[in-house]
Amino acid sequence: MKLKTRRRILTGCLAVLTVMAFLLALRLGAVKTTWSELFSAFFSEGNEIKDILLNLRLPRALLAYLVGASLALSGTILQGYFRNPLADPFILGASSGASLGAVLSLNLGITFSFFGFSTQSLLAFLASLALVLSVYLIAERGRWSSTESLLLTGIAAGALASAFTSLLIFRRADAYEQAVFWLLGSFALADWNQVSVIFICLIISMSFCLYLARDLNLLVLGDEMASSLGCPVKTVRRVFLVLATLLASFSVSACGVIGFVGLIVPHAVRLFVGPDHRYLMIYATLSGGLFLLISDLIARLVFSPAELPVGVVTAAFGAPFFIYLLHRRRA
Amino acid sequence: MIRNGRAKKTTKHNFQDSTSRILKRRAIKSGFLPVLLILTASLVFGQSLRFKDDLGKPLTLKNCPRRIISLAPNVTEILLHLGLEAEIVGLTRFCDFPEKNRKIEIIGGLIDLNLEKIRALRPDLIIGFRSNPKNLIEKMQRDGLPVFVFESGRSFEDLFRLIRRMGELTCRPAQAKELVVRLNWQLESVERKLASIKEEKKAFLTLYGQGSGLWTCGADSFLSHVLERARLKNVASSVRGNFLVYNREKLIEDRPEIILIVCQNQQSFDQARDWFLRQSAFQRIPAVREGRFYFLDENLFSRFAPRLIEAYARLTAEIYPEIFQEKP
Repeated sequence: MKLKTRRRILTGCLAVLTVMAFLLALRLGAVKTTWSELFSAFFSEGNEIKDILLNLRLPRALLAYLVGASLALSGTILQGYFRNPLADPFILGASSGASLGAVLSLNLGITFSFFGFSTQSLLAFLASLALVLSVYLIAERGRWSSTESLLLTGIAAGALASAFTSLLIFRRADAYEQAVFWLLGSFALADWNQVSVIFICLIISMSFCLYLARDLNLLVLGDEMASSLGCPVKTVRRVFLVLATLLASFSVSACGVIGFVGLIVPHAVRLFVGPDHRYLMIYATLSGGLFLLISDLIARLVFSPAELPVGVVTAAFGAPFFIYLLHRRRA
Repeated sequence: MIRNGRAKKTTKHNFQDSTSRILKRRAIKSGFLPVLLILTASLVFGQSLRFKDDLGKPLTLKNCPRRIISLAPNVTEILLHLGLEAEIVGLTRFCDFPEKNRKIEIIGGLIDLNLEKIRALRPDLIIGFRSNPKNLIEKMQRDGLPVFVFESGRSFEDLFRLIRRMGELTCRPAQAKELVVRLNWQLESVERKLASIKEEKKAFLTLYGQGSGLWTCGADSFLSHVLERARLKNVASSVRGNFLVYNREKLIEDRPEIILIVCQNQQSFDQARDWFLRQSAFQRIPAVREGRFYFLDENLFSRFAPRLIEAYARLTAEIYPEIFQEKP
């Protein structure tokens, strides 16, 4: 099958499935609602079902979609950047930094809010950016090639931050459940503020990415080859790093560490549409959103009205599906 | 579960007496010696008490424990109530009530028990609670340390049973009984006043503030039991389990009439309340509309200890001021 045909099929599937998933996300929940109820509630003066629909289900579905899209895009960028199939949005320590920030806020007990964002999200965001920035600055001074040094420094710094996170969780045993819940990611408190921030971040990053997609294709060939083909390697690398980090940090601060999306969605999409980043980035973004939307739907329905961390679902359903994809490909 | 050892008394034999020597010979001949041996043995071990803890492990105490280690803050609180302050030789760093006792050795936290320290304190009784990790408890048991673990407990009655059993374990049954009677009297006096309340109010209890989700207590938690006894209907009691994250849309459907916020201080209570008031989706919840929020002190409500009764009394007094103000 030609790549073009494959892309068309994938476009069709994504469109249909995304619409269906959004409709289901609006229809299903801990409170039983029917289509007619939802429809009449939407146009009525204001009642509980309208509250549920417009203030809970809709922002939650959108946030899940946008975060999934951001993580998948970030993962795609970094896998290309490092030319390493194991790269994911959190490889430079964005998640470890965010976890440390979030757990720190639990331990300190300080609370302030800024534009309706909780202390926890703010500290998570700042700590995440700070950690990645320090990784970058340290790696720049290294003697090795910059990507290798960056990768290894990122892993080491991530481990260091995780150690401190564990220490803090451990010192306050009573906040253990809460911390673990955050660490596995959840959209339980999604609201419109978060949706708007992630949306803006994703749109900006996406436009940069599409503009620079060709350069990322060149980077995959190696830095020397890329610069001889006229790519301003250093600048392009920096821009991509900033984009990937911002996407990861914003996502993590909104909803905790949701693993796996940024790792497998780019791979799965690559199996369908090939390694050309011009298409890969678009399709990975759209599929990542769809994947996380469905995962969150499962997370809030399985033990309803109790909630499950969505990270559990992404791994539990995503991993077998991914193994199946790989295997089918080989056979 | 607790069996008292039988303390049998034997008559003293004067073996120097020739008649008794004859008697002894006869006794051997007629097979009395085994009986005699048993009687002697029961004299030697007569004082020992045999217990079985909630994990099914037996524990034999020869004497009243003099060197007790507590592995959980609520255990420490009960021990102190039983007047065992001088007997406690080790406790956790979370044991902070009535005040942090600096003189007693700290043997770690709930999870990170320091086995070396525990051993060095030469305890003759170690009391654990369900929050301690099983593998450490088992290790201590394998090493021959006198460990006793309490596992069960959700209701006030379970708490009373816990206190009484702890009293038997530490040779303070009278004090334990007295404490239980006092607590029970306190409990009953509140419940008698609540008897006039006909309909249960629907309540939602939330913990921790809103960091990662709407944390609440499920049907299996003792907090849910406290709510039941305060004649409140815990809206999250449809879910089994201890602590869990509750779905926001279900909360809207549940329409709780009051919201209880468990937190550390007034400031975090204010913040949590403001968070509820800000949520546009919650505006139709009766508790939010009428501003019926109650502050529950985390320190008071988080431990399965005698203070729970006081917590219960305070909670009911706040929710039903009309009933409790009538009588001076």
